[in-house]
Amino acid sequence: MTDRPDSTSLPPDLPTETPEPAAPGLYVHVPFCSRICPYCDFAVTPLGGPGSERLDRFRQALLKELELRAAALGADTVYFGGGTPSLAPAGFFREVASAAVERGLASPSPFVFLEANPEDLVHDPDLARRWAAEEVWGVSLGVQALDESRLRFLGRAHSASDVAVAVSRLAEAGIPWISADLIYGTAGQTPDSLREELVAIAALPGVNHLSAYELSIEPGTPFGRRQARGETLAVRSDDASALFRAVHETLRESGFAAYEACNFAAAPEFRSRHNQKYWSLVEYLGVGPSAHSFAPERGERFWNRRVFDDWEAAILRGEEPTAERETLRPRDRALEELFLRLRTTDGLPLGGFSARYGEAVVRANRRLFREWRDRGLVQLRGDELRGWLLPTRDGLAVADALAREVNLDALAGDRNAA
Amino acid sequence: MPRPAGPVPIERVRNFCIIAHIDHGKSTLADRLIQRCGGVSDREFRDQLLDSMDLERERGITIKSNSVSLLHETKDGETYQLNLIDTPGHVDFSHEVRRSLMSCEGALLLVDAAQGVEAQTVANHFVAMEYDLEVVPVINKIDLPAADPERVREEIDEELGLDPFEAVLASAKKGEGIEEILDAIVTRIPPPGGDPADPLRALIFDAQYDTFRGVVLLVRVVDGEIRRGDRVRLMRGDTDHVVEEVGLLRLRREPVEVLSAGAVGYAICGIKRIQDIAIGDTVIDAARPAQTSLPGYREPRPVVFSSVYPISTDDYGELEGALGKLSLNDPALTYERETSTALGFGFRCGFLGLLHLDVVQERLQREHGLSLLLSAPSVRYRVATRDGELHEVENPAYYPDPAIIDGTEEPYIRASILIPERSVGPVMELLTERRLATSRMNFLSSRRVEIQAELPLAEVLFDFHDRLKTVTHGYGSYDYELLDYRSTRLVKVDILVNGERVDALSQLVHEEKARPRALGYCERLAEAIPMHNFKIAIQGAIGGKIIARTNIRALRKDVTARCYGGDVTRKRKLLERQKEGKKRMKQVGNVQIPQSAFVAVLKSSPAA
Repeated sequence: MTDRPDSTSLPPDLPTETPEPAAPGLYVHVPFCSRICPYCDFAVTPLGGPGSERLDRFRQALLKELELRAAALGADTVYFGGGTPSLAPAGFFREVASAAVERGLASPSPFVFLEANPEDLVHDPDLARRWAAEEVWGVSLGVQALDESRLRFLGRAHSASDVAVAVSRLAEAGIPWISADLIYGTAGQTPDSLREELVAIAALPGVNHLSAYELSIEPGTPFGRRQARGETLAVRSDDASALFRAVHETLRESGFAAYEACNFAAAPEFRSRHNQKYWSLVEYLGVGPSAHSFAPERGERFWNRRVFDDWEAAILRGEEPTAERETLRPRDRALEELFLRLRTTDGLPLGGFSARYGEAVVRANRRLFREWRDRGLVQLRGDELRGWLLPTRDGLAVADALAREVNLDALAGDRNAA
Repeated sequence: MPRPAGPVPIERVRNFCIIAHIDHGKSTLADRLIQRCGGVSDREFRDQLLDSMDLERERGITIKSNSVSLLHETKDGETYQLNLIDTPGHVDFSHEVRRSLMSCEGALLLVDAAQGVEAQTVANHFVAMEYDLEVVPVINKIDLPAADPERVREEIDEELGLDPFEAVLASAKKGEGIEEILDAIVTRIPPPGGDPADPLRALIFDAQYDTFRGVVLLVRVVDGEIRRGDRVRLMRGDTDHVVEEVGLLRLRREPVEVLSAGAVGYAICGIKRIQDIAIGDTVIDAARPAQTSLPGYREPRPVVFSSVYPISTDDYGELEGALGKLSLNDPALTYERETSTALGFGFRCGFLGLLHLDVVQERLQREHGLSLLLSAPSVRYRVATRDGELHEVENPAYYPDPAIIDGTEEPYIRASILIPERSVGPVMELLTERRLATSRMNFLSSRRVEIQAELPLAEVLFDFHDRLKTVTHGYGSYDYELLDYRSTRLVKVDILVNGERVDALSQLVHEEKARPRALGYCERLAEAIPMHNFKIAIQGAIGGKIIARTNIRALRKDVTARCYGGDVTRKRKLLERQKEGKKRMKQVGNVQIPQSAFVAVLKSSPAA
C-alpha cells in the first residue's frame, strides 16, 4: 500500500454552464414489481402481471391524488419511479402527465422520465415505440450488472443480452435520453471486473447517461437478513473505495463525465433533469405511495403513506395521503444543502450559503475548507466567503464526511427556529 | 382438584428434580406437570403464569426458580405432594445442580428421543448417582419425526447403565406420557426420611427477593420442623431471625403452619438483603441448635471473566443497579468497577462459565433493557514473579511486566465429548488446533464415541461449541470439568491505533494464538473506524514487538449511495446521528473511534 494520497491523481470536474434547474419537479411512485429484488427497500408490492386489478386501482387513485393536490406548481419534469413503471398499462404515462398538466402541477409538454426493467422491453417489442408515442423523453434502465453471476446474485430477471436488446429498442424508438443504472460492490467484485462491465455498458449505442450506486445492505431486506446471519454480501470499505475510483476513472475514459457522486453524463445536456432538482434543493412534489415532497418556500418536507391500501384509502376519503410533515429548521436545511450540494461537481456556492445561513457559519469553517483544499478534496474558487467549493473526485467520494465536518453552531437565526 | 384436609403426610411427599441436556424439553415437561396437577386449563395456566411473571417483574424480583409444590391424586384416590425442585441445566452451574439434587430423593432424567444421550446427560447422571437418587429415565419428544426411542433405549442401557425398560416414553409438548411420569414419581421415588423430632436442619437451596417481604428462602427441611414464630439461626452467617411465615411453593406462595422433616417450601424471616444470606447455608433452631451443618455451601468461584461496559455511558448507573439486582439471586456472579480509557466506566465480571456469562448478559439486556459491550472472555491465570510471589491474573490490565515473570499457569479442563464415530477425524483435528494435551477414546453403542480430552479452558471459550456442532454435523456434544493448572506460554497482546494502546482490546493469549488473534482484531477495527484526515495504522503488539498490522487509508469512500426518490429526510437524519455520534467517539491518541467499532470488534467471534 502506498502512502501517497490519491487525491491529486485526477483533475476535478469543473462546473459547466448548465443553468440551475429552477422549475419544480413531479415524482410519481409506481409501487409494483413482478418480483422483489433482495437488496431493495423501496415501497413495492409484487404484482401478478400488467393489467391486473390493483394496477387499475392505482391509476384511479393516482389521478385522484393529482386532483387533491392540484396547485400551480408548473413542474417541467414528470418522473415515474418505482417499483417498476415499465409494468404500467398502455397510455398510463400520457394520461398521468396530461392530468398533471391539467391540474397545474406540470407545465405543458414536460420532460417525462420513467424507470424500466430491461426484460419488459425484451418481452414486448412494441413497448419502446409506445412510450415514444406517449412522449416519454427519458428512460432509466435497471441494468444493475452485466456479469451473469452478479445479475443472479442481485435477483434480477434479465440477462446481459437483454440489456443490449432493451437499449437498442429504446434508441430505435427515438427515446432521446437513455440511462443505465448499475450496482457495484457485491462481494468478490474486483476493479478489473467492474471496469469490463462499465466499458460494455458505456459502449451500448444510445446510452448517454449512467448511474453507478454502491450496493448498500438495508435492514429488513432479504440481503439485510442474510448479512445479519453473518453472510458477506458486499465488499469491505477499502475495496469499495477502490471500486468507486474505478467507476470514475473508467467512465471518464469512456466519455462520461461525473456531475454527481454516482451520476455520469455523456454531455452536460444529458444530466438528469429531474434528479438534479433533489441535489440543488429545488421544489418537487411526490405522488403515489411513500413519495416524498419538498416545499422550500414553506421550509417543509412531507411524504405519503407507504402502504398501498392506506394511501388509497386516504385518497378515497378525499384526503391528501400525506403520512408526515416536517418543518426544517435553518440548521436542518443547512445540513441538507451541504450534503446534497457537495455530492455534485457544481458544488456549494458560499455566497448563497452565507446569504441563507449567515456569514458567520462560512467564517467559522474557513480553516476547514482550506484544509479540504490542501487535501485535494475540493477546489476553492474565488473569494473565501463568496466563492465556490467544488468537490474533486476524491471529495465526491467522501461527501458525507465533509458535510459532517462542517460546524453549524454559528448558524444565524437557529435559536428562534421551530 | 381436591385439597387434602390437612398437610400431606410425609409418606406421601416426593421431592424430585428434572435433569436434562439443554433443549431436551425440561421446561416444557415442568409446565405440563404443573398444569396436570394444578387442574387448570391451558388458558388459565398461561394467564396465571404470565400474571405472576408480570407481578414479579413489577416488583423487580428475578424470575429464576421454578421450584413448585404439586398435588397429585393417584388412581386409588390418595393425594400426593410432589415437590419439583428446579435445577439449572448446565455444567457452569454444577454446584447449583448439586445443591438441588441434595434436596431431592429422585430425579427424572430427560433424554430427547431424536438427539439421544448427550455428554451433559451422562454428567448429570453421574452426579445424581453420587447423591444416591432414584433416577427415572424419560424419553421425551417421541412425537418428532426423527424420534428413535429404540436407539435411545439402547443408549440409556449402554451409556448410562440404567434399565431401558423402565424408561417412560413421553411427549411433553403433546401431553403424552404425563400420567405415566406422575405414576413413576409416586411409585419409584422414595418418600423423604428425617425425623421431625430432631433439632431443625434445613438446607437453603435457593432464594428469591420480594420488595415487600424481603428475602424468601427456599428450603428443604432435612430434620426437625420450622414454623412461624420460631427463632432460627443461619449457621454460616451466624445470624438469628424470627420466622414470619413458612409455606408451600404453589403457583403463588401458600402459607402453612409448619414445614416438617422431608418438606420443601419457603421461609420468610425478615431478612432485608440477600447479601446477608448464603445459598447452601443451613437453617437451625436458635434455641436448640444442631451441631453439624448440611454439606451444601461452597464459595462460588468464577472461572470466566469479561469486562462489561454500557454502550451509552449514561447507562452506567443503570448497569450497576442491574448487576446488584442480579447478584442478589446469583451469588456466583462477581463484579467490580473498572475504568477503560476507551470505554469509560464499566465492570469486570466473573462467571461460572460461558453459559453463565450468556445468561447474565441476556438478562441484563432483556430484563433491564441495557445495551452492552463485553470484552473477550478470559480465564484466571497464575503468574509467578521473580520475587517469589504468585499472582492470580484474569484482567489483562493487571498482567505483570513480562521481564519479572518467572512462570505462568493456566486452567485445564477434562472435556467429555460425545460424537458419531465418523466425526472422530475432524473432532481430533479441532482439538489439536485447541492445544489438546491428552485424549482417550471410548467406543460406545450405536457407532458413537466418547473422547475424553484434556485441554486449556481458554480454548473452549471461543466458538468451540459452534465448531464442534459444525464438524459433527450437529451430532456432537460436550461437557467439561475443571482439572488443574498447568504451565503455559502466555503473552499479552495489545492493539495499537497510531501507536496508542486501546486498553479495552488487550488480551492474554497463548503465544501460538497471538498473531492470528491480533490480526483478526486489527482487520475488524480497520473496517469499523471511519476515515480520518490521515492514514491510520492499526497494529497488534506483544510488548514492543509488532505482530500484526493493517492500515486505514486517509481516503475511504464515505458517501451514501443515493437519495431514495427524493427522501432527503432519512439521509439527513442519518447524517445527524453520525454527527452526534462523532461527539461521543472515543479519542485514542489522535484517532476517534466510534463505539460501534468496539461493538464490531468484540461482538464477532475471533478468527483464532
